[in-house]
Amino acid sequence: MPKSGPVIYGTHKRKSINIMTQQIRSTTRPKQKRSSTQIRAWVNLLFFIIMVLVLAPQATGIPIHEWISFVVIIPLFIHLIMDWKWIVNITKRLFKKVPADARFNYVLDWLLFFLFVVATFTGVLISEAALPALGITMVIDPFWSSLHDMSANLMTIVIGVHLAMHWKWIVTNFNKYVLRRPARSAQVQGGH
Amino acid sequence: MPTLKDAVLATLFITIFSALMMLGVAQLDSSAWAEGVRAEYSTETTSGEAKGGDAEDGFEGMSGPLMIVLGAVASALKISLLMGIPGLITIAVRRRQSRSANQSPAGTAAS
Repeated sequence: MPKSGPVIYGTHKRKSINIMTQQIRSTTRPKQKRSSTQIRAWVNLLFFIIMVLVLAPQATGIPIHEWISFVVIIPLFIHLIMDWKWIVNITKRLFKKVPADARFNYVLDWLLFFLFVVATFTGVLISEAALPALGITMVIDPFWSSLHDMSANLMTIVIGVHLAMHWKWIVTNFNKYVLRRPARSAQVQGGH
Repeated sequence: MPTLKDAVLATLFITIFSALMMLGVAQLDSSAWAEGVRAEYSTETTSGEAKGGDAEDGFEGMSGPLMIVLGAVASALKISLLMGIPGLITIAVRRRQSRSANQSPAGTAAS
């Protein structure tokens, strides 16, 4: 018997085992690839819930308000990264022919981002719980405090408009992915 | 889904841009507006009109659980009004716009 015989047989066996394993996997565990819209829907829902908690310091108390304010930066980044192509695309075409809706959304989103940065920055400057817990103490300046309140209130208003601008997308994808109801109309793709 | 390169670029851009914005906002510290707010606050403090902390605005002297419930209700109301009213107005305006676009000759031709 040639010495190479068992080696060929072994390779064959391994290949057939691999194929069988793949077949078993494909039949027992169907592919559950999540679409980017589905991920976006869940991230946006989480972002909204955290944002509501952040905007309610009277309900959560100052320490939770401050710590959650740091946490909310993560879904914000994901939210922006998921729509990065849209942001780049509109930035490039802003002074050319862009639909009025998209242009309005773009300006509104910049305003929202600016207000978010101002609220976060001023929030850090007037921190009463989070920074002192980390050993950093600051004197609370009434100017930063009033700017923080102002930017947070304005941000709440702009969030309302932002949500309304994407209301169709929100309702469609919340029904489809969160409530798992069958879609009544065609799926609305993308956040913008 | 964005690529890893896109994600890194976006993260860098967002971080740098936020830092620049913060630097810009920090310049307000020495502005006349800031001085005005500080002067107003010190006048209020000396005349005894200063309010309490953020979490306890309007709820001083109340017991713990009641304060939490009232705080939650007040926050829910505030958020609902601040988000809801502009949101409803926006939805109404958009519906009106799309209706008028559908009724116009160009809209009819397009559809």
